[in-house]
Amino acid sequence: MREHRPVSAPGRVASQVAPLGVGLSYMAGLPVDLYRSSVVDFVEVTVETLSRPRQQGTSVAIDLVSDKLEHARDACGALPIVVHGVELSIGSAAGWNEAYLDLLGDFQQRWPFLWHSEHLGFQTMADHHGKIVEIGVPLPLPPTEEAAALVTARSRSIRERYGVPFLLENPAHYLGHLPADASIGDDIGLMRAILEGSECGQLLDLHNVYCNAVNHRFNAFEAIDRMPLERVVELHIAGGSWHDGFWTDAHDSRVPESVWDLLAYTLPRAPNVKGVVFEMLEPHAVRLGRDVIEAELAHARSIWECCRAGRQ
Amino acid sequence: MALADFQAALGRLVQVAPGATPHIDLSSAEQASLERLEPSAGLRLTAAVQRSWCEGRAARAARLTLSALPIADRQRLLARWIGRSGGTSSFFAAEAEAFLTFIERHLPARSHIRALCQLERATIRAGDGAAEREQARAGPADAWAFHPSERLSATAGVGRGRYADLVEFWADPSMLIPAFYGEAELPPVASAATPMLFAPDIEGYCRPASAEEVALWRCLAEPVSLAAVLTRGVSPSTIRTLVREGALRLSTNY
Repeated sequence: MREHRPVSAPGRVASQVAPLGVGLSYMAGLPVDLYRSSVVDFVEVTVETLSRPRQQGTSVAIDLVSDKLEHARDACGALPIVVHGVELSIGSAAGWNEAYLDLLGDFQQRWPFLWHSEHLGFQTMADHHGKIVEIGVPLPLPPTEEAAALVTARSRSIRERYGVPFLLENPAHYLGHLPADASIGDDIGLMRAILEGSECGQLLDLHNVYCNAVNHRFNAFEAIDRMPLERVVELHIAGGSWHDGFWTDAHDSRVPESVWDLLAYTLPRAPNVKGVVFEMLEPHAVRLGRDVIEAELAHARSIWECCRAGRQ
Repeated sequence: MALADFQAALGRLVQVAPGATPHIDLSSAEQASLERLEPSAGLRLTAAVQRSWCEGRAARAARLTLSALPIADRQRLLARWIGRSGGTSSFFAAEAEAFLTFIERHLPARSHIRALCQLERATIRAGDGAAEREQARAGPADAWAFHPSERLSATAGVGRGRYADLVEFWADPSMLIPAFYGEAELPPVASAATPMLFAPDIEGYCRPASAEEVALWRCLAEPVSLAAVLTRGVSPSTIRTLVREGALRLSTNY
Protein backbone atom coordinates (compact mmCIF):
# COMPACT_ATOMS: atom_id res chain seq x y z
CA MET A 1 0.00 0.00 0.00
CA ARG A 2 1.11 3.55 -0.71
CA GLU A 3 2.80 5.36 2.14
CA HIS A 4 0.66 8.15 3.60
CA ARG A 5 2.93 11.05 2.97
CA PRO A 6 1.32 14.50 3.05
CA VAL A 7 -0.18 15.74 -0.18
CA SER A 8 1.04 19.28 -0.53
CA ALA A 9 -1.65 21.92 -0.79
CA PRO A 10 -1.30 23.52 -4.20
CA GLY A 11 -1.26 27.26 -3.88
CA ARG A 12 -3.91 27.93 -6.45
CA VAL A 13 -6.49 25.65 -4.87
CA ALA A 14 -5.83 26.91 -1.38
CA SER A 15 -5.41 30.62 -1.90
CA GLN A 16 -7.67 31.64 -4.77
CA VAL A 17 -10.80 31.84 -2.71
CA ALA A 18 -11.57 33.42 0.66
CA PRO A 19 -13.58 31.34 3.16
CA LEU A 20 -17.26 31.56 2.30
CA GLY A 21 -19.12 29.98 5.22
CA VAL A 22 -22.29 27.90 4.99
CA GLY A 23 -23.93 27.08 1.68
CA LEU A 24 -27.06 25.41 0.36
CA SER A 25 -27.75 23.57 -2.88
CA TYR A 26 -29.87 25.54 -5.33
CA MET A 27 -33.34 24.04 -5.55
CA ALA A 28 -35.89 25.77 -7.77
CA GLY A 29 -38.76 24.59 -5.59
CA LEU A 30 -37.58 26.35 -2.44
CA PRO A 31 -38.72 29.89 -1.54
CA VAL A 32 -36.50 32.47 -3.19
CA ASP A 33 -36.17 34.50 -0.01
CA LEU A 34 -34.48 31.55 1.73
CA TYR A 35 -31.42 32.22 -0.43
CA ARG A 36 -31.62 35.93 0.26
CA SER A 37 -31.72 35.53 4.02
CA SER A 38 -28.62 35.64 6.19
CA VAL A 39 -28.60 31.85 6.71
CA VAL A 40 -26.95 31.21 3.33
CA ASP A 41 -23.46 32.53 2.49
CA PHE A 42 -23.12 30.87 -0.89
CA VAL A 43 -25.04 28.57 -3.21
CA GLU A 44 -24.04 25.31 -4.84
CA VAL A 45 -25.56 25.00 -8.31
CA THR A 46 -25.96 21.79 -10.28
CA VAL A 47 -25.87 23.09 -13.83
CA GLU A 48 -27.57 20.00 -15.27
CA THR A 49 -30.79 21.04 -13.51
CA LEU A 50 -30.79 24.25 -15.58
CA SER A 51 -30.27 22.53 -18.92
CA ARG A 52 -31.72 20.24 -21.56
CA PRO A 53 -30.06 17.89 -24.05
CA ARG A 54 -30.27 18.34 -27.80
CA GLN A 55 -29.38 15.89 -30.55
CA GLN A 56 -26.55 17.35 -32.63
CA GLY A 57 -25.86 15.05 -35.54
CA THR A 58 -24.80 11.75 -33.99
CA SER A 59 -23.90 13.29 -30.64
CA VAL A 60 -25.77 15.11 -27.91
CA ALA A 61 -25.27 18.73 -26.85
CA ILE A 62 -26.61 20.15 -23.60
CA ASP A 63 -28.02 23.67 -23.64
CA LEU A 64 -28.74 25.98 -20.76
CA VAL A 65 -32.46 26.77 -20.48
CA SER A 66 -32.68 30.54 -20.26
CA ASP A 67 -35.70 30.86 -18.00
CA LYS A 68 -34.36 28.29 -15.52
CA LEU A 69 -31.02 30.08 -15.50
CA GLU A 70 -32.66 33.44 -14.94
CA HIS A 71 -34.78 32.06 -12.11
CA ALA A 72 -31.69 30.65 -10.42
CA ARG A 73 -29.78 33.92 -10.81
CA ASP A 74 -32.71 35.84 -9.45
CA ALA A 75 -32.96 33.52 -6.44
CA CYS A 76 -29.23 33.64 -5.68
CA GLY A 77 -28.89 37.39 -6.15
CA ALA A 78 -25.35 38.51 -5.41
CA LEU A 79 -24.37 35.39 -3.47
CA PRO A 80 -21.21 33.65 -4.67
CA ILE A 81 -21.82 30.32 -6.36
CA VAL A 82 -19.93 27.08 -6.77
CA VAL A 83 -20.86 24.28 -9.16
CA HIS A 84 -21.48 20.65 -8.28
CA GLY A 85 -21.76 18.42 -11.34
CA VAL A 86 -23.48 15.05 -11.58
CA GLU A 87 -23.24 14.05 -15.24
CA LEU A 88 -19.54 14.14 -16.12
CA SER A 89 -18.80 10.49 -15.27
CA ILE A 90 -15.15 11.38 -14.88
CA GLY A 91 -14.08 7.80 -14.21
CA SER A 92 -15.71 6.10 -17.20
CA ALA A 93 -13.07 4.22 -19.16
CA ALA A 94 -15.36 4.27 -22.20
CA GLY A 95 -15.29 8.07 -22.28
CA TRP A 96 -16.55 10.96 -20.21
CA ASN A 97 -19.37 13.36 -20.95
CA GLU A 98 -17.92 15.94 -23.37
CA ALA A 99 -21.31 17.62 -23.69
CA TYR A 100 -21.27 18.39 -19.98
CA LEU A 101 -17.85 20.02 -20.30
CA ASP A 102 -19.16 22.27 -23.07
CA LEU A 103 -22.23 23.08 -20.99
CA LEU A 104 -20.03 24.02 -18.06
CA GLY A 105 -18.00 26.35 -20.27
CA ASP A 106 -21.16 28.04 -21.49
CA PHE A 107 -22.40 28.37 -17.92
CA GLN A 108 -19.11 29.84 -16.75
CA GLN A 109 -19.35 32.55 -19.41
CA ARG A 110 -22.81 33.51 -18.21
CA TRP A 111 -22.43 33.01 -14.46
CA PRO A 112 -18.85 32.67 -13.16
CA PHE A 113 -18.31 30.29 -10.25
CA LEU A 114 -15.57 30.10 -7.63
CA TRP A 115 -14.89 26.38 -7.99
CA HIS A 116 -16.58 23.27 -9.30
CA SER A 117 -16.72 19.66 -8.30
CA GLU A 118 -17.61 16.20 -9.52
CA HIS A 119 -18.14 12.77 -8.00
CA LEU A 120 -15.23 10.35 -8.12
CA GLY A 121 -16.97 7.51 -9.90
CA PHE A 122 -18.57 6.43 -13.16
CA GLN A 123 -22.10 6.09 -14.46
CA THR A 124 -21.63 5.07 -18.09
CA MET A 125 -20.12 2.00 -19.73
CA ALA A 126 -19.62 0.57 -23.19
CA ASP A 127 -22.36 -1.81 -24.33
CA HIS A 128 -21.78 -4.97 -26.38
CA HIS A 129 -21.38 -2.82 -29.51
CA GLY A 130 -18.98 -0.35 -27.94
CA LYS A 131 -21.63 2.36 -27.64
CA ILE A 132 -21.53 4.39 -24.42
CA VAL A 133 -24.69 3.80 -22.39
CA GLU A 134 -25.87 5.09 -19.04
CA ILE A 135 -25.99 2.64 -16.15
CA GLY A 136 -28.65 4.55 -14.25
CA VAL A 137 -26.77 4.98 -10.98
CA PRO A 138 -23.27 6.24 -10.11
CA LEU A 139 -20.81 3.50 -9.19
CA PRO A 140 -17.45 3.61 -7.39
CA LEU A 141 -14.11 3.27 -9.11
CA PRO A 142 -11.85 0.39 -8.15
CA PRO A 143 -8.72 1.58 -6.33
CA THR A 144 -6.33 0.71 -9.15
CA GLU A 145 -3.42 2.42 -10.88
CA GLU A 146 -5.40 2.59 -14.11
CA ALA A 147 -8.35 4.34 -12.49
CA ALA A 148 -6.04 6.78 -10.73
CA ALA A 149 -4.16 7.59 -13.93
CA LEU A 150 -7.36 8.12 -15.91
CA VAL A 151 -8.93 10.52 -13.43
CA THR A 152 -5.64 12.32 -12.74
CA ALA A 153 -5.19 13.16 -16.42
CA ARG A 154 -8.80 14.26 -16.79
CA SER A 155 -8.68 16.36 -13.63
CA ARG A 156 -5.58 18.17 -14.88
CA SER A 157 -7.28 18.87 -18.16
CA ILE A 158 -10.38 20.22 -16.41
CA ARG A 159 -8.27 22.40 -14.14
CA GLU A 160 -6.58 23.98 -17.14
CA ARG A 161 -9.78 24.40 -19.13
CA TYR A 162 -11.82 26.38 -16.59
CA GLY A 163 -9.10 28.12 -14.62
CA VAL A 164 -10.80 27.71 -11.24
CA PRO A 165 -10.27 25.03 -8.58
CA PHE A 166 -11.67 21.61 -9.41
CA LEU A 167 -12.66 19.25 -6.59
CA LEU A 168 -13.42 15.55 -6.52
CA GLU A 169 -16.01 14.18 -4.11
CA ASN A 170 -15.53 10.92 -2.22
CA PRO A 171 -18.54 8.70 -3.00
CA ALA A 172 -20.76 6.57 -0.80
CA HIS A 173 -21.18 3.01 -2.03
CA TYR A 174 -22.44 -0.32 -0.80
CA LEU A 175 -20.01 -2.65 -2.60
CA GLY A 176 -17.50 -4.18 -0.25
CA HIS A 177 -15.03 -6.02 -2.44
CA LEU A 178 -13.77 -3.96 -5.37
CA PRO A 179 -10.66 -5.21 -7.15
CA ALA A 180 -7.68 -3.17 -5.92
CA ASP A 181 -4.00 -2.63 -6.68
CA ALA A 182 -1.83 -2.97 -3.59
CA SER A 183 -0.08 0.27 -4.50
CA ILE A 184 -3.38 2.19 -4.17
CA GLY A 185 -5.08 0.21 -1.43
CA ASP A 186 -8.58 1.58 -0.97
CA ASP A 187 -10.82 4.51 -1.89
CA ILE A 188 -8.85 6.89 0.33
CA GLY A 189 -5.68 5.75 -1.42
CA LEU A 190 -7.34 6.34 -4.79
CA MET A 191 -8.31 9.90 -3.87
CA ARG A 192 -4.84 10.54 -2.50
CA ALA A 193 -3.16 9.23 -5.66
CA ILE A 194 -5.32 11.45 -7.87
CA LEU A 195 -4.73 14.55 -5.74
CA GLU A 196 -0.99 13.88 -5.79
CA GLY A 197 -0.95 13.73 -9.56
CA SER A 198 -3.24 16.65 -10.30
CA GLU A 199 -3.85 20.13 -8.99
CA CYS A 200 -7.36 19.39 -7.90
CA GLY A 201 -8.77 19.55 -4.40
CA GLN A 202 -11.21 17.39 -2.51
CA LEU A 203 -14.86 17.87 -1.73
CA LEU A 204 -15.09 15.80 1.43
CA ASP A 205 -18.63 14.52 1.83
CA LEU A 206 -18.91 13.67 5.50
CA HIS A 207 -22.21 11.87 5.07
CA ASN A 208 -20.62 9.63 2.47
CA VAL A 209 -17.81 8.84 4.91
CA TYR A 210 -20.43 8.08 7.55
CA CYS A 211 -22.39 5.82 5.17
CA ASN A 212 -19.32 3.84 4.22
CA ALA A 213 -18.17 3.60 7.83
CA VAL A 214 -21.55 2.26 8.96
CA ASN A 215 -22.00 -0.11 6.04
CA HIS A 216 -18.42 -1.36 5.74
CA ARG A 217 -17.81 -1.27 9.48
CA PHE A 218 -14.82 1.01 9.93
CA ASN A 219 -14.12 3.97 12.16
CA ALA A 220 -15.03 7.21 10.35
CA PHE A 221 -12.73 9.37 12.48
CA GLU A 222 -9.74 7.13 11.75
CA ALA A 223 -10.64 7.24 8.06
CA ILE A 224 -10.68 11.04 8.13
CA ASP A 225 -7.27 11.02 9.82
CA ARG A 226 -5.92 9.12 6.78
CA MET A 227 -7.30 11.62 4.26
CA PRO A 228 -5.28 14.44 2.68
CA LEU A 229 -7.18 17.07 4.68
CA GLU A 230 -4.95 19.93 3.55
CA ARG A 231 -6.49 19.45 0.08
CA VAL A 232 -10.08 19.64 1.24
CA VAL A 233 -11.76 22.81 -0.05
CA GLU A 234 -15.42 22.03 0.57
CA LEU A 235 -17.39 19.85 2.98
CA HIS A 236 -20.80 18.29 2.37
CA ILE A 237 -23.22 17.34 5.09
CA ALA A 238 -26.48 15.48 4.48
CA GLY A 239 -28.87 12.93 5.89
CA GLY A 240 -29.94 9.46 4.84
CA SER A 241 -32.08 6.53 5.87
CA TRP A 242 -31.98 2.77 6.51
CA HIS A 243 -32.79 0.32 3.71
CA ASP A 244 -32.26 -3.43 3.89
CA GLY A 245 -29.73 -3.12 6.67
CA PHE A 246 -27.71 -0.35 4.97
CA TRP A 247 -27.53 3.33 5.83
CA THR A 248 -28.15 4.93 2.44
CA ASP A 249 -27.01 8.25 1.05
CA ALA A 250 -30.59 9.20 0.32
CA HIS A 251 -30.44 12.92 1.18
CA ASP A 252 -33.93 12.53 2.56
CA SER A 253 -33.58 13.51 6.22
CA ARG A 254 -31.87 15.77 8.71
CA VAL A 255 -28.13 15.45 9.33
CA PRO A 256 -27.38 12.58 11.77
CA GLU A 257 -25.69 13.49 15.03
CA SER A 258 -22.65 11.43 14.02
CA VAL A 259 -22.18 13.58 10.91
CA TRP A 260 -22.30 16.74 13.01
CA ASP A 261 -19.57 15.14 15.16
CA LEU A 262 -17.55 14.45 12.01
CA LEU A 263 -17.95 18.08 10.94
CA ALA A 264 -16.72 19.35 14.29
CA TYR A 265 -13.81 16.90 14.11
CA THR A 266 -12.82 17.64 10.52
CA LEU A 267 -13.07 21.42 10.30
CA PRO A 268 -10.16 22.20 12.66
CA ARG A 269 -8.02 19.62 10.83
CA ALA A 270 -8.72 20.87 7.31
CA PRO A 271 -6.99 24.25 7.05
CA ASN A 272 -8.08 25.11 3.52
CA VAL A 273 -11.81 24.49 3.75
CA LYS A 274 -13.75 27.37 2.21
CA GLY A 275 -17.30 26.27 2.87
CA VAL A 276 -19.77 23.71 4.19
CA VAL A 277 -22.78 22.81 2.04
CA PHE A 278 -25.97 21.18 3.32
CA GLU A 279 -27.36 18.80 0.71
CA MET A 280 -30.91 17.51 0.42
CA LEU A 281 -32.94 16.23 -2.50
CA GLU A 282 -35.51 18.80 -3.56
CA PRO A 283 -38.68 16.77 -2.88
CA HIS A 284 -37.48 16.06 0.65
CA ALA A 285 -36.42 19.68 1.19
CA VAL A 286 -39.91 20.81 0.19
CA ARG A 287 -41.47 18.12 2.41
CA LEU A 288 -39.36 18.90 5.48
CA GLY A 289 -39.81 22.63 5.04
CA ARG A 290 -37.96 25.85 5.51
CA ASP A 291 -37.71 25.69 9.31
CA VAL A 292 -35.82 22.39 9.18
CA ILE A 293 -33.46 23.66 6.47
CA GLU A 294 -32.74 26.82 8.41
CA ALA A 295 -32.12 24.81 11.57
CA GLU A 296 -29.58 22.60 9.78
CA LEU A 297 -27.85 25.63 8.29
CA ALA A 298 -27.73 27.32 11.69
CA HIS A 299 -26.23 24.18 13.24
CA ALA A 300 -23.56 24.08 10.52
CA ARG A 301 -22.86 27.77 11.05
CA SER A 302 -22.36 27.33 14.79
CA ILE A 303 -19.70 24.66 14.15
CA TRP A 304 -18.13 26.70 11.36
CA GLU A 305 -17.87 29.83 13.49
CA CYS A 306 -16.60 27.91 16.49
CA CYS A 307 -13.81 26.47 14.37
CA ARG A 308 -13.00 29.84 12.80
CA ALA A 309 -12.83 31.45 16.24
CA GLY A 310 -10.47 28.69 17.37
CA ARG A 311 -8.11 29.45 14.50
CA GLN A 312 -7.93 33.18 15.22
CA MET B 1 -8.73 -6.52 -15.01
CA ALA B 2 -8.86 -3.63 -17.43
CA LEU B 3 -10.90 -0.73 -16.06
CA ALA B 4 -13.27 -0.76 -19.05
CA ASP B 5 -14.00 -4.47 -18.58
CA PHE B 6 -14.56 -4.04 -14.86
CA GLN B 7 -16.96 -1.15 -15.44
CA ALA B 8 -18.91 -3.01 -18.12
CA ALA B 9 -19.16 -6.09 -15.93
CA LEU B 10 -20.17 -4.17 -12.81
CA GLY B 11 -22.63 -2.04 -14.77
CA ARG B 12 -24.31 -5.14 -16.15
CA LEU B 13 -24.33 -6.84 -12.77
CA VAL B 14 -26.18 -3.84 -11.38
CA GLN B 15 -28.60 -3.70 -14.29
CA VAL B 16 -29.41 -7.38 -14.77
CA ALA B 17 -31.44 -9.63 -12.55
CA PRO B 18 -29.57 -11.24 -9.63
CA GLY B 19 -27.74 -14.38 -10.68
CA ALA B 20 -27.39 -13.46 -14.35
CA THR B 21 -23.86 -13.46 -15.71
CA PRO B 22 -22.62 -10.51 -17.74
CA HIS B 23 -21.48 -11.47 -21.22
CA ILE B 24 -17.88 -10.38 -21.18
CA ASP B 25 -14.61 -12.26 -21.50
CA LEU B 26 -12.88 -12.30 -18.16
CA SER B 27 -9.93 -14.20 -16.79
CA SER B 28 -10.64 -16.63 -14.00
CA ALA B 29 -9.16 -14.17 -11.48
CA GLU B 30 -11.34 -11.38 -12.82
CA GLN B 31 -14.38 -13.58 -12.76
CA ALA B 32 -13.56 -14.51 -9.19
CA SER B 33 -13.39 -10.86 -8.12
CA LEU B 34 -16.83 -10.24 -9.59
CA GLU B 35 -18.23 -13.39 -8.05
CA ARG B 36 -17.26 -12.00 -4.66
CA LEU B 37 -19.52 -9.06 -5.44
CA GLU B 38 -22.41 -10.92 -6.99
CA PRO B 39 -23.95 -12.61 -3.96
CA SER B 40 -23.34 -9.64 -1.68
CA ALA B 41 -26.08 -7.68 0.04
CA GLY B 42 -24.30 -4.51 -1.08
CA LEU B 43 -24.66 -5.41 -4.73
CA ARG B 44 -28.32 -6.28 -4.20
CA LEU B 45 -28.90 -2.89 -2.59
CA THR B 46 -27.01 -1.10 -5.38
CA ALA B 47 -29.16 -2.90 -7.94
CA ALA B 48 -32.28 -1.98 -5.96
CA VAL B 49 -31.22 1.68 -5.88
CA GLN B 50 -30.53 1.59 -9.61
CA ARG B 51 -33.93 0.05 -10.27
CA SER B 52 -35.69 2.52 -8.01
CA TRP B 53 -34.01 5.50 -9.67
CA CYS B 54 -34.81 4.16 -13.13
CA GLU B 55 -38.45 3.48 -12.21
CA GLY B 56 -38.73 6.99 -10.80
CA ARG B 57 -37.34 8.59 -13.95
CA ALA B 58 -39.58 6.50 -16.21
CA ALA B 59 -42.68 7.10 -14.09
CA ARG B 60 -42.11 10.87 -14.16
CA ALA B 61 -41.58 10.75 -17.92
CA ALA B 62 -44.94 9.06 -18.64
CA ARG B 63 -46.98 10.29 -15.69
CA LEU B 64 -50.24 10.92 -17.57
CA THR B 65 -50.33 7.67 -19.52
CA LEU B 66 -49.28 5.50 -16.60
CA SER B 67 -51.88 7.08 -14.36
CA ALA B 68 -54.57 6.15 -16.88
CA LEU B 69 -53.52 2.49 -17.06
CA PRO B 70 -54.74 -0.23 -14.72
CA ILE B 71 -52.18 -0.79 -11.94
CA ALA B 72 -51.21 -4.26 -13.19
CA ASP B 73 -50.54 -2.96 -16.72
CA ARG B 74 -48.61 0.00 -15.32
CA GLN B 75 -46.35 -2.23 -13.24
CA ARG B 76 -45.86 -4.73 -16.07
CA LEU B 77 -44.84 -2.01 -18.56
CA LEU B 78 -42.52 -0.33 -16.06
CA ALA B 79 -40.89 -3.66 -15.19
CA ARG B 80 -40.38 -4.56 -18.85
CA TRP B 81 -38.96 -1.12 -19.60
CA ILE B 82 -36.51 -1.23 -16.71
CA GLY B 83 -35.59 -4.79 -17.73
CA ARG B 84 -34.55 -3.37 -21.12
CA SER B 85 -32.24 -0.83 -19.43
CA GLY B 86 -34.88 1.89 -19.62
CA GLY B 87 -35.07 4.74 -17.15
CA THR B 88 -31.34 5.40 -17.17
CA SER B 89 -31.44 8.83 -18.82
CA SER B 90 -31.46 11.67 -16.35
CA PHE B 91 -32.87 13.98 -19.03
CA PHE B 92 -36.64 14.09 -18.85
CA ALA B 93 -37.48 14.67 -22.52
CA ALA B 94 -35.17 11.91 -23.77
CA GLU B 95 -36.61 9.44 -21.28
CA ALA B 96 -40.18 10.49 -22.08
CA GLU B 97 -39.69 10.06 -25.82
CA ALA B 98 -38.22 6.59 -25.43
CA PHE B 99 -40.55 5.26 -22.75
CA LEU B 100 -43.77 6.60 -24.25
CA THR B 101 -42.77 5.12 -27.62
CA PHE B 102 -42.23 1.78 -25.86
CA ILE B 103 -45.62 2.01 -24.14
CA GLU B 104 -47.34 3.01 -27.38
CA ARG B 105 -46.26 -0.25 -29.00
CA HIS B 106 -48.06 -2.20 -26.27
CA LEU B 107 -51.37 -0.37 -26.51
CA PRO B 108 -54.21 -1.35 -28.85
CA ALA B 109 -54.62 0.57 -32.09
CA ARG B 110 -57.65 2.85 -32.34
CA SER B 111 -57.91 3.18 -28.55
CA HIS B 112 -58.28 6.17 -26.30
CA ILE B 113 -55.35 5.10 -24.13
CA ARG B 114 -53.04 4.95 -27.13
CA ALA B 115 -54.17 8.42 -28.21
CA LEU B 116 -53.48 9.66 -24.69
CA CYS B 117 -50.00 8.15 -24.80
CA GLN B 118 -49.33 9.82 -28.15
CA LEU B 119 -50.71 13.11 -26.85
CA GLU B 120 -48.38 13.03 -23.84
CA ARG B 121 -45.37 12.29 -26.01
CA ALA B 122 -46.34 14.90 -28.62
CA THR B 123 -46.82 17.58 -25.97
CA ILE B 124 -43.46 16.89 -24.32
CA ARG B 125 -41.82 16.74 -27.75
CA ALA B 126 -43.33 20.05 -28.88
CA GLY B 127 -42.43 21.71 -25.59
CA ASP B 128 -38.88 20.49 -25.96
CA GLY B 129 -38.78 21.82 -29.50
CA ALA B 130 -40.16 25.18 -28.39
CA ALA B 131 -37.36 25.46 -25.83
CA GLU B 132 -34.81 24.66 -28.50
CA ARG B 133 -36.28 27.19 -30.89
CA GLU B 134 -36.20 29.81 -28.16
CA GLN B 135 -32.54 28.99 -27.62
CA ALA B 136 -31.79 29.26 -31.34
CA ARG B 137 -33.54 32.61 -31.60
CA ALA B 138 -31.47 33.97 -28.75
CA GLY B 139 -28.30 33.00 -30.60
CA PRO B 140 -26.44 34.93 -33.27
CA ALA B 141 -28.05 33.06 -36.14
CA ASP B 142 -31.58 31.72 -36.16
CA ALA B 143 -31.22 28.31 -37.73
CA TRP B 144 -34.97 27.83 -37.53
CA ALA B 145 -35.84 31.01 -39.40
CA PHE B 146 -38.09 30.61 -42.38
CA HIS B 147 -39.14 33.57 -44.40
CA PRO B 148 -42.48 33.26 -46.22
CA SER B 149 -41.18 35.41 -49.00
CA GLU B 150 -38.51 32.87 -49.85
CA ARG B 151 -39.17 30.75 -52.87
CA LEU B 152 -39.44 27.08 -52.11
CA SER B 153 -36.58 25.44 -53.95
CA ALA B 154 -37.62 22.39 -55.91
CA THR B 155 -34.27 20.79 -55.09
CA ALA B 156 -34.94 20.94 -51.36
CA GLY B 157 -35.98 17.98 -49.27
CA VAL B 158 -38.87 18.01 -46.85
CA GLY B 159 -39.54 15.82 -43.83
CA ARG B 160 -41.41 15.71 -40.56
CA GLY B 161 -40.22 18.14 -37.92
CA ARG B 162 -38.20 16.48 -35.20
CA TYR B 163 -40.50 17.94 -32.53
CA ALA B 164 -43.81 17.39 -34.32
CA ASP B 165 -46.39 14.64 -34.37
CA LEU B 166 -49.83 13.86 -35.71
CA VAL B 167 -52.14 12.24 -33.18
CA GLU B 168 -55.39 10.57 -34.12
CA PHE B 169 -58.07 10.73 -31.46
CA TRP B 170 -61.06 8.40 -31.54
CA ALA B 171 -63.33 10.86 -29.81
CA ASP B 172 -63.45 14.59 -29.19
CA PRO B 173 -60.01 15.17 -27.57
CA SER B 174 -61.47 17.62 -25.05
CA MET B 175 -63.57 14.76 -23.62
CA LEU B 176 -60.66 12.39 -23.08
CA ILE B 177 -58.62 14.04 -20.32
CA PRO B 178 -61.59 14.54 -17.94
CA ALA B 179 -62.57 10.95 -18.60
CA PHE B 180 -59.12 9.64 -17.76
CA TYR B 181 -59.17 11.68 -14.56
CA GLY B 182 -62.43 9.97 -13.63
CA GLU B 183 -64.48 13.12 -14.00
CA ALA B 184 -66.59 11.76 -16.85
CA GLU B 185 -67.36 8.57 -18.71
CA LEU B 186 -64.96 7.57 -21.47
CA PRO B 187 -66.68 8.36 -24.78
CA PRO B 188 -67.26 5.49 -27.24
CA VAL B 189 -64.56 4.85 -29.84
CA ALA B 190 -65.60 6.69 -32.99
CA SER B 191 -65.44 5.15 -36.43
CA ALA B 192 -63.40 8.05 -37.80
CA ALA B 193 -60.34 9.70 -36.27
CA THR B 194 -60.00 13.32 -35.23
CA PRO B 195 -56.44 14.21 -36.27
CA MET B 196 -54.54 16.83 -34.31
CA LEU B 197 -51.19 18.29 -35.31
CA PHE B 198 -48.59 18.96 -32.60
CA ALA B 199 -45.61 21.24 -33.22
CA PRO B 200 -43.44 23.71 -31.27
CA ASP B 201 -44.76 26.91 -32.83
CA ILE B 202 -48.46 26.13 -32.74
CA GLU B 203 -50.16 28.06 -29.97
CA GLY B 204 -50.79 25.58 -27.18
CA TYR B 205 -48.69 23.14 -29.22
CA CYS B 206 -51.66 21.61 -31.10
CA ARG B 207 -54.47 22.32 -33.54
CA PRO B 208 -56.78 20.26 -35.76
CA ALA B 209 -55.06 18.96 -38.90
CA SER B 210 -56.68 19.33 -42.31
CA ALA B 211 -57.13 16.37 -44.65
CA GLU B 212 -54.36 17.77 -46.86
CA GLU B 213 -51.99 17.98 -43.88
CA VAL B 214 -52.82 14.45 -42.77
CA ALA B 215 -52.13 13.09 -46.25
CA LEU B 216 -48.87 15.02 -46.43
CA TRP B 217 -47.80 13.85 -42.97
CA ARG B 218 -48.42 10.22 -43.90
CA CYS B 219 -46.29 10.39 -47.03
CA LEU B 220 -43.40 11.94 -45.09
CA ALA B 221 -42.51 8.97 -42.93
CA GLU B 222 -39.16 9.40 -44.68
CA PRO B 223 -37.96 12.74 -46.13
CA VAL B 224 -38.76 13.23 -49.81
CA SER B 225 -37.91 15.90 -52.36
CA LEU B 226 -40.01 19.02 -52.22
CA ALA B 227 -40.60 18.68 -55.95
CA ALA B 228 -42.30 15.33 -55.40
CA VAL B 229 -44.58 16.83 -52.76
CA LEU B 230 -45.55 19.74 -54.94
CA THR B 231 -46.23 17.38 -57.85
CA ARG B 232 -48.83 15.63 -55.67
CA GLY B 233 -50.73 18.89 -55.49
CA VAL B 234 -49.82 20.02 -51.98
CA SER B 235 -50.00 23.78 -51.93
CA PRO B 236 -46.82 25.78 -51.22
CA SER B 237 -48.74 27.81 -48.63
CA THR B 238 -49.52 24.62 -46.68
CA ILE B 239 -45.85 23.70 -46.66
CA ARG B 240 -44.84 27.20 -45.62
CA THR B 241 -47.30 27.14 -42.73
CA LEU B 242 -46.18 23.72 -41.54
CA VAL B 243 -42.51 24.66 -41.73
CA ARG B 244 -43.17 27.87 -39.83
CA GLU B 245 -44.96 25.92 -37.12
CA GLY B 246 -42.12 23.41 -36.86
CA ALA B 247 -44.31 20.55 -38.10
CA LEU B 248 -42.11 20.08 -41.19
CA ARG B 249 -38.49 20.81 -41.84
CA LEU B 250 -36.73 21.60 -45.07
CA SER B 251 -33.25 20.49 -45.99
CA THR B 252 -31.31 22.32 -48.64
CA ASN B 253 -29.52 19.29 -49.99
CA TYR B 254 -31.88 16.45 -50.63
